[in-house]
Amino acid sequence: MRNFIVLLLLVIMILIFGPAKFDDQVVETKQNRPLNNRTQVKKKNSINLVYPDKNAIRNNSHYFSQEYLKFARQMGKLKKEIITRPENLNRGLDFLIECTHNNELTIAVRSLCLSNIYYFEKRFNINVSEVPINERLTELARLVSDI
Amino acid sequence: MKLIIVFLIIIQSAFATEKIIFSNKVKRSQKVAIQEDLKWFREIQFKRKPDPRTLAILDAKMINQQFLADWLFARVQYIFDKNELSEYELNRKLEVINLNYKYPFPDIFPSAIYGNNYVESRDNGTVMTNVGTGLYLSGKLDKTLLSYTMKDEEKKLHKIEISTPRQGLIRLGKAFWLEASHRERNNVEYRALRMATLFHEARHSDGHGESLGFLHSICPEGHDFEGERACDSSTNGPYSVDAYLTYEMAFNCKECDLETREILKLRVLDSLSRVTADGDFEENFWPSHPEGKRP
Repeated sequence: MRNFIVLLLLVIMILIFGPAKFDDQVVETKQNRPLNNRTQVKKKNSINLVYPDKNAIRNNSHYFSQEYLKFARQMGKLKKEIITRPENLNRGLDFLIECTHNNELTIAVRSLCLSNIYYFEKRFNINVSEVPINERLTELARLVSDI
Repeated sequence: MKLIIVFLIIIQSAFATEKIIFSNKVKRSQKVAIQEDLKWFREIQFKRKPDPRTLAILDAKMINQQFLADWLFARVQYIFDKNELSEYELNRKLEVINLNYKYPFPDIFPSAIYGNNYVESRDNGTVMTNVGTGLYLSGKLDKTLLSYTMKDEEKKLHKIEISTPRQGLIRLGKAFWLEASHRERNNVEYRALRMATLFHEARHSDGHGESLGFLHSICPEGHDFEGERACDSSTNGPYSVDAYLTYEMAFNCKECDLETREILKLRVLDSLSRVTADGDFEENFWPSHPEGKRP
């Protein structure tokens, strides 16, 4: 009987407060994400941009997949956010640096992140020193950083 | 004066698609999308000085809408539905019209050549495929001249002699809409991506001997697409055309917002990351002059 009441209370609480919000369920921070989970592609990062699933991109190697479209759209939103509210610059740069260094992402995604580091360096007249020394990545990123 | 301007606008819009012939099987929505894409493309003012690599790749002194439209129409002429040019259809509609045809560069084939069936009868998830080049290669290998009969939207029959990859036969693929929702599919980013693909396919209509068709190579070990036939060994192949055209569109597109620009940037980077040629740009520049001539 006691168990039944506890269970009933639990059900009532769930009904009242509802299930956890979508964001609460999917957010993975650097701290709580186990290292071996870094290979999981649908992961979130410090500012909740969903990295494109490398396997999905590989499986659709003959066309520009929605994974890329979604990521690029989010990147556009992030850029807009930083431009309109420069106080978010550091948080944004943390994300871009993390993305640029992430070997599990495709070179296209990493160079997009790096291109935006270059963009913000120029726009805010700053110098970000933690960018990787990788000739190919740098060459690609530099090409599109002014777009 | 106003009348002249209106007349010129009408002529310009008509020109946008007059050189592309659609098969009667192409879905109306896809045909309209391509026509609208071309119209949209022709409205882009390429005012910014183009990158020297764009000019080199397109073999141009300068680029404008007219040049780009002509470049495209010289390489893309017929558009087919995704269910056309199947094995069954090829058996039915493909004719051998010369059993001992003298091809240019008869013994020289691209090193990336694979198998002996150059027209994939199954669509493995593409936006478009240049099937004309595949048919040309098949004919060249057998030393026979092939012709394919297509019915256009007015039910008129076109007997297409595959005497050059420049005949430009493009088959639309399953991924034509890039998984966009019905509402989104004609947004500017999708228009730009489809145009980039059309130019990509157009490049497959170029080349001779070793460079014939600018065939894709297998991506090397360690590449994001390792083992897939989704790379280019040349610096002026389809992925480079695609990348630099998207690059110029991104710079000159007035209606592109930040999100769209990021999409186009990522497309440029994705395409360029597939150019795996070692060495510098000029060293891996393949000759683009096409084999044969349109009859």
